[in-house]
Amino acid sequence: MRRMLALLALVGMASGALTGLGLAGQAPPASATFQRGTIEAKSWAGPIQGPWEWSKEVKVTSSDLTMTCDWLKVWPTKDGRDWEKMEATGKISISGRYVAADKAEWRVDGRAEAASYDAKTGQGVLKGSVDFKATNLATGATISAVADKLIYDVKTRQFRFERGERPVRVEWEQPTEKATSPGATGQAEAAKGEAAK
Amino acid sequence: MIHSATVKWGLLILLVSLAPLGCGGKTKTRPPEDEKPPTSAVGEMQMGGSVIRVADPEGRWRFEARSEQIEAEGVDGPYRLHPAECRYEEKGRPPVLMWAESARLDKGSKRVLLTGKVRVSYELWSLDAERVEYDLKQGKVVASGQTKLTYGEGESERPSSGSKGQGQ
Repeated sequence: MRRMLALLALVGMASGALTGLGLAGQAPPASATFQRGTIEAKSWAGPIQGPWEWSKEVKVTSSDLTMTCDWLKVWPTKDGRDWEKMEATGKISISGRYVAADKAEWRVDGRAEAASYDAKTGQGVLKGSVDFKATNLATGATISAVADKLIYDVKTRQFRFERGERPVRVEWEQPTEKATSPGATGQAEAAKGEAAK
Repeated sequence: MIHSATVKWGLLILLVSLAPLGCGGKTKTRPPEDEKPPTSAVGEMQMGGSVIRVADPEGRWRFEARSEQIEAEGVDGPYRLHPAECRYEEKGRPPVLMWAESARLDKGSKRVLLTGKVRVSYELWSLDAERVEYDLKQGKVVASGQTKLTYGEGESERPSSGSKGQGQ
């Protein structure tokens, strides 16, 4: 039964970003990994067929990944089997264990001020002080990125970091060297333009 | 007052006649009690094991609440159910099932308040909360306390403990 869950495409974005940074090769579609999960909060409201709003201490858990935020709104599809759209704001935090397509296991930690996902465009967006860090649990290698916006395309599995006029900062750290590898810190690219919503 | 005494005796007879209908598991054959309410305002009354139904006059939805114990403050309620097992059905849509330790149903405002180990189940998800307000007219839910929505694989089920009312 098809239980694609676009909600956690946002979580998948973290993984997708890492994939794009060269960590995991080809990642599976972000939603394919997440079949069952929970959303906890102090308050939940909405029509029974949606859209639904959660507020205060929102916690989304699926597989080994967790996302927390202050406010979350989800628009389910008419058949109720999928998410059509979602928005989250306030102290977005994504953390947990991610198993990439190449079986490599990563510890993922991400931060942002807002997040959104739209199934029509197939894009997930993280906005505002986007900060990602991932550690390979086998090798200890760590990669991190800082940007204003992260756009992840679920269909093409491509991502794009934006940081306005400033360069996006990406750092790669090998555990054995105990230092940032040469040339790793730097100007990935500062892509411009509006992210599709 | 002769009239008052008559009404009370009439009510007593009505409740006695309703009691057998509310017992046992043959709920599908029960007549809708709300179609023949008591004819006079009285003090609090109790019904053992029964069902209360509320329906949209235009036929868009219907709501049904079952319980082992129902108390009513008056003819039109509000009704208090302990525990409560409810079913809300919109035309052309799957039913919404609800369980709670207690419920308060106001037929006038068409609102139901579920409290204590509340579970609301709809198709592929189920919601657990301490308190859920359901606006039957709008089909809108407000849950508070610690809320937990579970979605995805595994069909939504009734809680393992709590209501012992009859399922559908």
